[in-house]
Order: sequence, then structure tokens, then C-alpha cells
Amino acid sequence: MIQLKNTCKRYRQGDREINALRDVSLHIKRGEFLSIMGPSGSGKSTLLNLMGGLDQPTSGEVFIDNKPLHGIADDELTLIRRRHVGYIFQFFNLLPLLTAAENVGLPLLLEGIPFAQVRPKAVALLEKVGLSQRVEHRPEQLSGGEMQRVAVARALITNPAVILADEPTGNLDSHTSEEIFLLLKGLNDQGQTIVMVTHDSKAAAYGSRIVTLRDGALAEDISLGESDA
Amino acid sequence: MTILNLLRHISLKHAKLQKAQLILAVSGICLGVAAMVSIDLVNFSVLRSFEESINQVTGRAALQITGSDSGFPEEMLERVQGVPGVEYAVPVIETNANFSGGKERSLMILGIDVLQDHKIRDYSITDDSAEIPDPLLFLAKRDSILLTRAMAEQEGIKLEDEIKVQTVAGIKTFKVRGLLNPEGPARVAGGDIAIMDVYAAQMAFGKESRIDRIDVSFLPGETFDAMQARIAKALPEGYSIDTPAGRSKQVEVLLGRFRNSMDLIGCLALFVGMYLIYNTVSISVVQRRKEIGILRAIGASKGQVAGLFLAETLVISIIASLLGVGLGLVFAKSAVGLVAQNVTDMYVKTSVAEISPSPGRR
Repeated sequence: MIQLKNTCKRYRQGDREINALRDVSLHIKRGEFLSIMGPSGSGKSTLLNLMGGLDQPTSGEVFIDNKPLHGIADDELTLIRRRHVGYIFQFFNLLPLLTAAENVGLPLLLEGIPFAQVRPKAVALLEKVGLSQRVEHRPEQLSGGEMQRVAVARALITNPAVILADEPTGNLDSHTSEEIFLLLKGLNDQGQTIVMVTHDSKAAAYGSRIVTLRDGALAEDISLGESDA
Repeated sequence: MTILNLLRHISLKHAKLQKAQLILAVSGICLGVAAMVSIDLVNFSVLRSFEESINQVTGRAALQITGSDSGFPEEMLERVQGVPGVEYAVPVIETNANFSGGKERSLMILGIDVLQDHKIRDYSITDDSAEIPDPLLFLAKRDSILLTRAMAEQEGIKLEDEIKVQTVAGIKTFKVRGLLNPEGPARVAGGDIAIMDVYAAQMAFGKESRIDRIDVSFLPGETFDAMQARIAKALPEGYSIDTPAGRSKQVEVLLGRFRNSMDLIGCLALFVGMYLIYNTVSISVVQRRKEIGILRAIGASKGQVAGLFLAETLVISIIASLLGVGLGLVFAKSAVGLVAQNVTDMYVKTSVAEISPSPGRR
């Protein structure tokens, strides 16, 4: 599903050169729920961004469904982001002026599909994440948990190969966080591959496999089997 | 298709929910366009007004024949009138004089064929453009002169008053037998012009049987070059056959200068308009940086984002420009009369001095 081979990422910050990722090799199988853990600055988000095509490695290779993400043109990378990856961000990243349904349907609008065709799909997904009463609400009219559910629905609308979640509950209280984790777990139970970055070990335990990064290198790789929190 | 999708679902929302900003953007561009349009319109109208006032001096004359400083025999007039292609040929005596009323004031005295001249210049002593109580007396008496109403009022002169003017032929006394309304030649030089019958002028200025100039108009379809050649053949050597000075160099030089300064103002307005459009776009890009980031993250290409902003700007600009053209028309209408009138007056004073540079002038 997702494969990283000897991936390195360096970037400059002022005069310093930062090795965000050092020689990371990782294989994520279809249907896995992978949690990436590690202290801040350990390269978790960088790793996730490489998997999702938001960033490109300095060296090494990244494949998603056997398609290379390294060394391809920006427009191709954009298409992969749109069609094969569903992103969930810590700060939701919803467009404030659009309704829930429009936000969910946005990736398909970008494909040029008329909203009339997109809307039923978006509404169905909003029902799936428990927001059937919020279809016409704008983000400012929603709670944090509801906004993140909209983001989850948006991530699902293209039937992506993988959902990448970057600290999806970093901005939510513990009760709401648990609801989001259970939502993700439910999706994973239906076969959805998920990669989630978190610094919270309790959150990581929702996954089926936990990878720990330290100073940009893989430190631990534990499979949890079918355990639940 | 995609851009339309985005326009409908993103831009329209911005328009609906951020009306104040939209109005600001539209009115900014609208004002820029209006400034441009109105300056251009005023510019154009003023130039037209310039050309008109020049036409009033030269009239419809397409060609002028001049000889030496002392003029030339009036028989030449008949020769020119006989040249095929000539519509009208009228004699002109032109002299500059000093009016010895209160303060010294220079004026141009034109001796014209009173009954023919209106065919070339836009006025006639037989209609509303002049007040002549007794036209027959005006023609019969050699001391008759017409002044402009403007000058007469300024100098406190009434009909039937006698005036003294100093000319190259000495001090002459004339009797004001009519007043010219400000039309045609009477509009030039702030009204510092006087008109006499050509034969009376010949007598008064010692130019018996001589004339200074022949103004010629052509039949339709005749070209200047062809007519110049034909007339040259009909006349002896030594005559200058040229376009009216006011039509060529004069107009071009003076109008060129004026046009340059107006163009500069137009450019300024253009820059203001461009800056307003640039500002509108950059404000919305800065404000929506987060939106751009989100769009890019969920799979909008650079082209799509750029296309969205371009399309938005295009729509706003088109609407604002249409409004701006309308507003510019309104601006121009209220300004053009003032500007054109002012500049015409200003210009015309200069023009007369340069159209007739003759030795007697101070």
C-alpha cells in the first residue's frame, strides 16, 4: 500500500541543516491502522507529509499503491493528493464560508463534477459520521468535534487508498477525541487503511500497529494485533 | 468547468458573505476606470474644441495663396476662381492695428468680401451672427467697420461710435456700423478682431487693387496636391500656395503640446486604476492565504487556484469597468464644458498671434 525506502528529508533553517528524517524504511499494508508516535520534532509530521504527497523526500523513495511520489511533477503530486489520499488535520482546515456538505464535496468539485452530483454523496458521508442534522451548517456553527467529523467525511469522499491524520484530536477535549478515535477505528474495521500521527500513547493504542520515531529515525515498530483500548 | 465549480461555490460565497469588501473592490476599480474614461473623453472633446476654433479662423479654406508682404494684384482672384476644381476663392486683406482707445490694445483687421466670405467662414453679416442695423450703409460707406461685441463692451463702444486705430498706413478713423456675435472668427483672440469690406480696407490701408491672401475651398473629390499644381500653373511665379497655416504646423505643434499633457494625466489615471486592481487582488490573496493552503492540501492544483483568482478578478473587473465607463461619462459631462471652454479661450489667444505674424505687430 504505502512503501518508504531509505527515505531522508533534510531542510535548512537559517544556517542550520536539519535532518528531519534519516533513512526511514517502512511498509504499510492494506487495512492497517498505523499510529506514528514520537516526541515533538522527531519527524512524525514530516513522515506523514511525505506519504501524502504534501512534501517530497530529499533522497529515497516513496510509493503509494506502487505509484512513486518521489521526483514527480507538482501537478501529478496534486492529483495523487486529491484522488488517493484523504487528509485530516489538527486544525480541521475547513473552508469557513462553505457549508458542511460543500466542504465535504470540495475534492470532487475540484474534479469538475457538478455539485448536484456531489451533494448526495457528501450528505451520505455526513450521515455516516453522525452529522445528518448539520448538512447546511458552516464551520463557525459547528463544535470542534463536529468540524473534525466534517473533515473525516471530506477525507472519505474520494474513496482514498489511505487516510492520513495529523494529530486529529490535538485541538479537541478528551471526550470528543475518543469519539473521533472510535470513528476512525470504525472506518478501519470496514477495511480503510489509516495512518495517524499522535504523541498520545492512549490514542496510539487505537491503531493496529505503532511506529515510534526518535530524531528522525525509526526507533520502534510494534504490531498490536486486534487489541482495543 | 472546474473553475466554474469553484467560482460558484467559493467565490459566490465570498461575494455573498463579504459584501462590504466586494463593494470596496468594485468601487475602487470603478473609480479608476471612471477617471481614465472621463479624462480621455475630456481630452478628446477639448481637442475637438481646439480644432473647431482653428477652423473658425481658416474656415473651410483648404488652401491659401499669399504673395509678398505688400500683397498682390486682385486680378489674381479671377484667375484662381477660373481654375477647375475650385469651389470658392475669396480675397482677404489682413492687417494688424493698435486700437487707440483708452489703453493700447492690438487687434487684427480683416478685410473680406462681405457677400462671399461666409461661403468659407462660418458666419454671415446677413443672419443672427452679427448685428448690423443698416447693411446697405455698411457696404456703401468706406469708413464702416464691424467690431466684436466682446471688445465693444470692454472698450465701452456703442454702434455709430467713431474709433481711431493706428495702422501701418497711419492713424485711421472708422465708424462702428455693426457688432459681431461671438461666432466664427469673432470668437478668436478674445474678440480682438475687426472686419471691414475688402474694398474699404484696400482704400484705408493703401492697398488699392491689391489683396493679401486668397482663401480657396475645393469641390468635393479634389486633392490638395492636384489643386496646388493647377493653381500654380494659373498664377505667375512667386506665389506661395499652401495649406492654411492653422491647419498644419500650427495645429500640430500646439495641439501636440496640449495632447501630451493630457496624455500624461490620462496615464496617471491609468496607473491609479491599475494600482487599484492590483491592490484588490493582492488583498484578497493575502486574506485568503489559508484558503489557498487548504485548497492545495486537499488536491487543488496551482493552476486551479490561480484560475480561481483570475476568474474572480476578471468577473469583478468586467462588472466594475462597465460601471466605471458609465460613471466616467457622467464625470466627463460635468467637466468637459468647463475645461474645453477654458482651453479654447486660452489657446485661441495664442493662435492668432501665431497665425498672422506680420511686421506691424508689437
